[in-house]
Amino acid sequence: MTQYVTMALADQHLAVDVMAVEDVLRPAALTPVPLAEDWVRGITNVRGQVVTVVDPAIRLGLSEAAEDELRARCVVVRHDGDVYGLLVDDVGDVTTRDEDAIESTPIALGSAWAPYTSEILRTDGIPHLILDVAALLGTTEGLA
Amino acid sequence: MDELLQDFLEETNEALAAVDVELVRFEREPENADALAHIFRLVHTVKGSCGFIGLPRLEALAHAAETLLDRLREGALKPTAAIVTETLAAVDAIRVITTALANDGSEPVGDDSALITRLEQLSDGQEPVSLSAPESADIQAAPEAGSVRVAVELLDELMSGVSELVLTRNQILNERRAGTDTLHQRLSTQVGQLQDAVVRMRMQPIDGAWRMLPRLVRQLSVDLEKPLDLVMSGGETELDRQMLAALRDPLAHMVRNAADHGIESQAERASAGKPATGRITLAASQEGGHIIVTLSDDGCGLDLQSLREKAVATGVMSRREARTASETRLGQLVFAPGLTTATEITPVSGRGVGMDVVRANLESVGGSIDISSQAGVGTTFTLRLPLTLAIMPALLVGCAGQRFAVPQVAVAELVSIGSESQHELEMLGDTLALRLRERTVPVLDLRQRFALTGDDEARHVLVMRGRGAKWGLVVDEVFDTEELVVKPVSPAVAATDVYAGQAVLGDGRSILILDAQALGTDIVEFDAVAAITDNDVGTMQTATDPIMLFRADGDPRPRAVPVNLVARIEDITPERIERAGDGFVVQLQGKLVPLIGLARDADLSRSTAALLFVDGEAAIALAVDAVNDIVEADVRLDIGSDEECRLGTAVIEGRATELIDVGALFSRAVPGASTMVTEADSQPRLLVVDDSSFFRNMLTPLLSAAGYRVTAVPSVDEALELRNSGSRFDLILSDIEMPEKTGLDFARAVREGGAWTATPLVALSSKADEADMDVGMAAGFDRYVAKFDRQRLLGLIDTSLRLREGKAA
Repeated sequence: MTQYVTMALADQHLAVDVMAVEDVLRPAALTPVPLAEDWVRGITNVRGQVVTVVDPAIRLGLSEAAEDELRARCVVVRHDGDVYGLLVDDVGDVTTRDEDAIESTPIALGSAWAPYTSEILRTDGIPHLILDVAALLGTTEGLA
Repeated sequence: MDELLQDFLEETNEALAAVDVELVRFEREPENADALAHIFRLVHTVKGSCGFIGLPRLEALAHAAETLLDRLREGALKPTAAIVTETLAAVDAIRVITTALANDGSEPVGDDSALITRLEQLSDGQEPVSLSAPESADIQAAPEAGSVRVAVELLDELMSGVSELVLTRNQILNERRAGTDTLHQRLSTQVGQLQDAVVRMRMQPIDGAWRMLPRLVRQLSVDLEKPLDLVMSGGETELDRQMLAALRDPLAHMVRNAADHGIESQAERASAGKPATGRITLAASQEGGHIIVTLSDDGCGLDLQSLREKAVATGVMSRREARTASETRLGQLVFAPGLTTATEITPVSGRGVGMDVVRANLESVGGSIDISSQAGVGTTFTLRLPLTLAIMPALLVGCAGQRFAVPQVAVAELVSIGSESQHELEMLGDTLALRLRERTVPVLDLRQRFALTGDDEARHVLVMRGRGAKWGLVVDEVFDTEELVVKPVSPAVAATDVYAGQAVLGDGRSILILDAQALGTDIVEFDAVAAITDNDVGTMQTATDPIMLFRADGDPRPRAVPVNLVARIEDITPERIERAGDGFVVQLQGKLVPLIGLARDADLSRSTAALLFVDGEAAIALAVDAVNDIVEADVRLDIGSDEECRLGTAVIEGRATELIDVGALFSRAVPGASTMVTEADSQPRLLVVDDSSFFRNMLTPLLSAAGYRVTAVPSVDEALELRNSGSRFDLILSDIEMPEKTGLDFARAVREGGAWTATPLVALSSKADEADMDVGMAAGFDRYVAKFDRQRLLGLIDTSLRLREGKAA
């Protein structure tokens, strides 16, 4: 039985496997990283770990990097030994996966998200793209 | 005891302790293959190690037992009571011998031939005539081990645990800045001690990284047909095992290079009049928080012409650049990828590993490497390594409102700039530069490099060292130092190529650690502005000296004075202070001593602490706000400071610290004590050559107070460098007993030729009997004086200078 954390980012409903999520917090005390890509919003201390905070929406070209404007929530995930904070607009509930609620994404999903999702989780009639965090961060690595 | 033997005994004792249980099992169930395997492993290991470290008695015994047990394992023999008994006897005998070994360091005298014969007979399938008496051997408990083996992973885990603990401690202390809470102070001390212990636990003597070098040199000597000598010193210097591992291969590579390219062929040495045997010298020492390793050869030095040609051929420099490049800059080319000084690749060093790889290896562990070379005399590599990797002392700086950490190992000096400072930035073409002691240092403006915006004023330049060059980094603020637990950056941050790591500060904020080498590459290697070397003339390098740090005048900036010069610290109560003219005096042991450093309107109702300096009959007390610390520091200071009573500024413990000129304090406060000459140009110039930093510290202020302009250097080579670079002195004072080149060598070199042949040369010696004096005079000294005889020294300098004037007139 898999559980998902639902979240919203740049008008898109998303879901992430709860096992991949270490923490959800309000982004605070960010130290900017001069010369890094604009989607790297800074580093911050989360319980003694230094977390690289990234904005996936900026990375995917869905929104502009606005100075001094951070999204409301930071979802902390671990990838390849490093800890990242994914900035999102909102974090919803933990939803238990209901087999009937899982659908494959339409093949022609015309979205920047397409490479990072293959399934949709539907709760209360709302479709959430199930996000492949490793793929998303793996890509940021390649393009960095 | 030999370290190898120590290791062997530890290993064997552990195995012996473990094998006891198996012996009992073996006795009860001789068929038990597991027990047999255990015992076999023990004797096998013992036998293997014995041959290696030369323990014939133990080896013979273990060999016989091994043979027997091997036949059992193979199944060629069935265990019998006789076999069990003799096996037990053999293990007991091994125990007895190793116990004696641990006590005396050598094998005890004894005869095991009867036991060995029985073991051999059993191996051959015969029943021996007589059996060992059960428990014939003295069963002793294994000696209490002085050390235990710990898995390296466990050590690493402990280290990272302690590092985190240090961090938490810093955070707690930061939250309660007051620091008066005794519980917090205790926590702080205890964590500090724990950290220290764990760091020490991971330390190993550096000779672990160079133990194989003598053999390598012997081999090279044969292969290259050059007689070679390897001289090693400081092998007991300890550093983190991780550092040790990082050092091993680079050292071997550099020794190979020195033997192959550095040292000339026999014929060349003969025609240059050098000793036939080439000498490679390896030395290690600790300087503050760092380990310095130097590797020198007495070969031909770098072939600068060939370096120039190679630099042009590979496109690293233009023809014009190559022609004008300084020796230092050319020397750095040795570390450029694809450049090798050897004209032909030999089987010895042509292995595809270049000095670029050596440098990269060292830099990856936070170290650095520099080269200096003199044609015909030799080449020296200087390696600087942090003591440990996990915790890094760093300087916190501010730029455009943001904080960054700079590894302290990379910072050589701290210079203030701006309207109130004597230092200013200037534009050279399109490069920003700093004028520093008659040299031009290229600087990088961090704000510009990072495209930061902010109104803060750029006020400081960190003078950075590394890669043979100095360069400056312009920042707005310099805060404190902090010990950082370095964490690697994620790929998204690493992509910038300017950060060496990240860390959490005591206040809980995260901070980026600047990669000094990477930033420096921007301006040093690709810039035509001549980089200055570490050996600037006029800079006195004192080795690690105890330095007292204090604050005075209500100024939060630390000041420093060598501890050696402070007679004691006095707590001066108000009733002992009296006004005298414009200043103050204080009664100390029935004498009136000038009390300086107090403002005219000072609050005289409170006690003040004062440092007491005593110079013969004269004494002065310097009022201070607080004595902060005594530290061992690698102090580099600018002795050319224009300000009176100030030797210059040095970076101590990562902070810009003013060094107080005690001699000048005397001359100002006790007019009778000196013959201060005001016109600097009319002051005779003295050179002091002494390897002891204590004497340099003592003599420099003493002689400057007596009206001389003093330059002090720690070695003969540095003195001769001054000669070769055109420095002139009116008189030279030199120590006799110095490592490497002695004062006698120096005198001969001075008298042999060059600009100093006529300069008066005075020998400073701690022992001056007649025979010594004769040798000294023969070498070229004019006078001899005992080091501690201040009056005679000053008188003698005076006389010598007068004589010289007389001669000149």
